[in-house]
Amino acid sequence: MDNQAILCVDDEAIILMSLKRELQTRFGDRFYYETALNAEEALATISSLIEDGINIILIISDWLMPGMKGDEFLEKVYSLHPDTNVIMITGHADKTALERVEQIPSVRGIVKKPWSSTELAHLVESVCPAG
Amino acid sequence: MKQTYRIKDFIVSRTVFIAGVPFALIFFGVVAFSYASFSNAEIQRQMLLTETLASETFIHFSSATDIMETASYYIQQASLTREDQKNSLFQYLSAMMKTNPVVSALWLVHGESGTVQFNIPSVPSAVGHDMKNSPIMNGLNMTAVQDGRTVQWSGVEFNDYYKGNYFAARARVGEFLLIGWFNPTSLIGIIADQTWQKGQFGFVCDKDGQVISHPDYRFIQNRKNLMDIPAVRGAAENYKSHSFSQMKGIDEQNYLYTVVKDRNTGWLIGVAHAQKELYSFVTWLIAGGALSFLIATAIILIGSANASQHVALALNDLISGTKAIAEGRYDTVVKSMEFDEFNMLMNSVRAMQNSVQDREQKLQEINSTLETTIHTRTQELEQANRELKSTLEELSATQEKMINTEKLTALGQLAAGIAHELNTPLGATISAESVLEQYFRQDLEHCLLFTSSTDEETRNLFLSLYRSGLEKTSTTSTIIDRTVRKALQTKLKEMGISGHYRITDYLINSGLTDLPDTNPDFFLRSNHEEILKELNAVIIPLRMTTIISEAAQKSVRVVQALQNYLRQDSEEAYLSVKVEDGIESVLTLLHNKLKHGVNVVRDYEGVTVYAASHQISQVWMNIISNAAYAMDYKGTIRIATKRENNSAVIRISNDGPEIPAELQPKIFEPFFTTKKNEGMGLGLDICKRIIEKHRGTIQVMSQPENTVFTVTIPMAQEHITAKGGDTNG
Repeated sequence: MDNQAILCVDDEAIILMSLKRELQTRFGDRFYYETALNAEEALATISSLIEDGINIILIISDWLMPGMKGDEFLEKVYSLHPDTNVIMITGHADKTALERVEQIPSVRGIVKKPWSSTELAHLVESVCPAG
Repeated sequence: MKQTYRIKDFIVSRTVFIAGVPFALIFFGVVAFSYASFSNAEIQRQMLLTETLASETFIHFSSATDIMETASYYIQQASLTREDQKNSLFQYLSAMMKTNPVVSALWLVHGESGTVQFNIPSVPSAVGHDMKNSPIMNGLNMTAVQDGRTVQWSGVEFNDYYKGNYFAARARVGEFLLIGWFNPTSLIGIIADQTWQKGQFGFVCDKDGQVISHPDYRFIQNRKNLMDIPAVRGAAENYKSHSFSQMKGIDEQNYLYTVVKDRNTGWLIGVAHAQKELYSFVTWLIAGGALSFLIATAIILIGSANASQHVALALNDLISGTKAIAEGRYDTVVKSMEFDEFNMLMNSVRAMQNSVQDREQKLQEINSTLETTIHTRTQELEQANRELKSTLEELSATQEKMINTEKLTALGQLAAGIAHELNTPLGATISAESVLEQYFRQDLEHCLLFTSSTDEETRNLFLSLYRSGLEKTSTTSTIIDRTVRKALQTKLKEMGISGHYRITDYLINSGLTDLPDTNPDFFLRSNHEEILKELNAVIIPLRMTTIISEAAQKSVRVVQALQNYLRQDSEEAYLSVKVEDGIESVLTLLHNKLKHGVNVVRDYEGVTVYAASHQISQVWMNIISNAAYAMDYKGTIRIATKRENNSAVIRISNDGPEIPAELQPKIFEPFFTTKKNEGMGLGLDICKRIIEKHRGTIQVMSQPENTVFTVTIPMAQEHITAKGGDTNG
């Protein structure tokens, strides 16, 4: 299990920090935890990790991101890494946008800001079951 | 002003002018023509008479010459010394003379002595009389005169005895001179034999113009010379001539003279005709014509005057009738007039009068009802006015409501963004809290157990690392800096340290990123990862407090900006406001909309205006959110504040698409919008009114990739007069 990573993507540093720490606290050494402030950095991180032989099993991404919209980013990731699962975190409740995201096959769940720790933990657990 | 006439004067003058003038012209033309042609014919006729007179005179004197020649012949044949021959000559010559009235006597005079030898008819007393001094003998040169046949006429001599002119024919007979005495009555007879008209007479002058025969005896007696008459002089030179001229001494009137010169004697035979007699016919003609003309003119004048008098009288009736109507005496009856036109006119006037009467009646009716109507209308108007006023009030209220609605709509749109803005720090806080809880529930205890279970040296190392980690108050941004992380990972990997991902994390979280350089030996320790893990666990809460603090600050900014924006509803006070502060508040509220694709470039000079800050903020909110919307939230918004001529000039530009030229004048109109389902389009209308309330202007200039809204507001110190008033626009 040493070669599995969760990538958090959000344009707010405090979100990334707290999210990563929360996941780390919850799941400890089960995963590597990586962060990216925008879609470009996320894609660069993914390819970097793959070079190091680490699989990205989950991306937890914010909906709105500078440079590239969330759904564009997800579609790109899906085309490159169809096995990577995605959990969406969003502060907006735009119904049509959410419906559009749900149609992307890799998206496994949507979490609204502010999220409940337990809820997120359960979702991550269900997407990336231990063992 | 046009010249006006009385009808009578006009008709009369027009009649005279139209009928009289041409008639007069024709009349005088005819007269002149008749006069000319008549006088020409008369001259011809008189000339003919004159020539007849002349030829008769010529014949007359020719026979006298014959007698003289015959007598000369016989005298030469007879021997006067023989008494018998002398007696028979006398008898013969006496018999011959009886047949001829021209020569009254024949005298034989001795050429040398001038004594009379004998005379026929015999006048014994005259025999022996000396004729030498007689004018008859004047200029007689016996030698120059041929014997016999040459007959010479003497000059004229007035004989007192006969009371007439005498002259003689002279012929030489040997040593004697035969004198044939001319009988003046024979010439008078010739003249008298002609047919004379009234005022016409004949006359004869010798070649020098001296009168030989003339009806006026005084002319003969005074030996009058007529050479000063142009016609006489003309004939003396040119055989015949005529002229009109006066004969002085007789009377002052003009005569027509026709004169012919006798070729034999050179005598001038003339006819004179008094002009007044000559032209009596023409004069009568002219006089008759002129009289007819005058009578005709008089008749025409009287007729036209009479006609115009009738017209004028009829007109007077008409005038008095219409005047009566004009004065309102409708019952006035105008009697029927002489002229159909006037009657027609009067009928029209009557028709008009009737209709005027009707109208007047109606007008009176209307007048009587008008007051009531006005009263009713006034009431209606007052009612309408009241309704209008209440409508206006309602409208005003509606407008106020609409403006508020618009504001709320804008706020509603903002709310989603604001919610996100707040959800982010809230999410971070809650997340951080869960980490802290984990720390208190698990990690702290675990750490205490670790430290208490280790040796003194490890505990001290742990403590020193913990202290230095606390000092490194790294911010969240450095913690997640990917380049730092990557470099550290690479370094650890090169140092051959296993688990470098985790260790990198530990080092960054603990703020000990320089540890591989300052103390590489640390990583040789078997428990280095355990130490770093525990260190990480106790320093993490510090990082969480940083996160919570930053999240709280972010929340406070958002809330403050919202408060700034919302405070406007309750406060209308004008205060000195820093324009840039208001703009920054708006940018905070719009952060969520702008942060992903909009680059905001600020160029602030620092301007202060005297304003209701919340109202001004609403302007910035509108312009900036419109700009972001127009550029689809991608591109650059430039905000520049500047002081120009004591005014604050705020230019907010974006590089979005151009506002079409035809829409540019409309964007400040109420209810204009290009956005569907987003507000009512009152945004820029409200902006404009707010800026105008602040005595400023707002303008737009748009071209592709550069749309600029320019707001100009007077600077604070000049805005004092706006204080207090006009706040309910």
